[in-house]
Amino acid sequence: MSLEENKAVIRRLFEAENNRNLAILDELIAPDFIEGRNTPFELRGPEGYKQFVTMLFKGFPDWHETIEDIIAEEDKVCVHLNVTATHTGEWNFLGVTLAPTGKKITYTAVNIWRVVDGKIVERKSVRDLLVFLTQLGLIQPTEKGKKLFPENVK
Amino acid sequence: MSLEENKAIIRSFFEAVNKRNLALLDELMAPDYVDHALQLRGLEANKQALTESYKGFADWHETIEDITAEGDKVWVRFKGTGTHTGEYQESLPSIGKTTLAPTGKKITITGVLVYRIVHGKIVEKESGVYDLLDFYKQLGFIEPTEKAKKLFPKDFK
Repeated sequence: MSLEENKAVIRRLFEAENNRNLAILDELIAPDFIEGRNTPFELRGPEGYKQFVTMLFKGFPDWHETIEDIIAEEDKVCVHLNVTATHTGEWNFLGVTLAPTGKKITYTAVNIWRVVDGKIVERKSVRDLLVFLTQLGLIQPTEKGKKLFPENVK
Repeated sequence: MSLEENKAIIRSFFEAVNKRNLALLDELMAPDYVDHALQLRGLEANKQALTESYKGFADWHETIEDITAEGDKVWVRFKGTGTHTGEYQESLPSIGKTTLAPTGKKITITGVLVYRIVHGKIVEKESGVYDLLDFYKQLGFIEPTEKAKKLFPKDFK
């Protein structure tokens, strides 16, 4: 598989997810796909991945990811993405149900995907969790934090 | 420059940062190097920010967890660790210039940084996505809300 072919696989994944066409994920995600091995966030295989995004889209029916930048080398594809969403539904996350807050979510992340023979075998992510968890009302500045970055207090 | 040469330059850069070898940065980086993520313009401003990191975190160390290159870009997934044992002049765009008294806390920052290399010199950090959750938590800037404590009781004993 060429670098352009690997990038095309990832672009297809983003398009399928944004269009809520989850059947395509069975084609794109390898049976042995893994993310977050041995952590509470572990996702395995197309079923695990589809289950996660299904619950995500229930909580955020307008969840949309935009690819800002993409590179590839060997079997890796790196994507810098931006997420926009509104929390208008219940989101089941790690066995906990987050009731809708109505909040608008905007945050940025980088995914590092591994693609082998046209299938996605692994994903690692770095996400701006500070912004995401603040927007969901799960973290807040302390008194010390408010004094130090008053503009960030929403 | 080949991809392997570009990756080697970035590896040397991380090594120089870890060894406190700021003189080596003059060789590896363009004088007008810009860090767009941290909004630091010019090599001197960037070296100054590094010096402040060393003052605040004497054991500050960065590890390259993954490095990927294409064209003139090198993407680095990194982990930075340090203990907040000294006064630290913060310059993160979200916080602005503030001096933080030592907390003694061990902090971890992870992120993915995108560097651009031209003719063997690092000319810019084009972008960076940082996970600063642990950093802010350890330094006492953020705390879980009541809602979070109710939803995740096991995590907040």
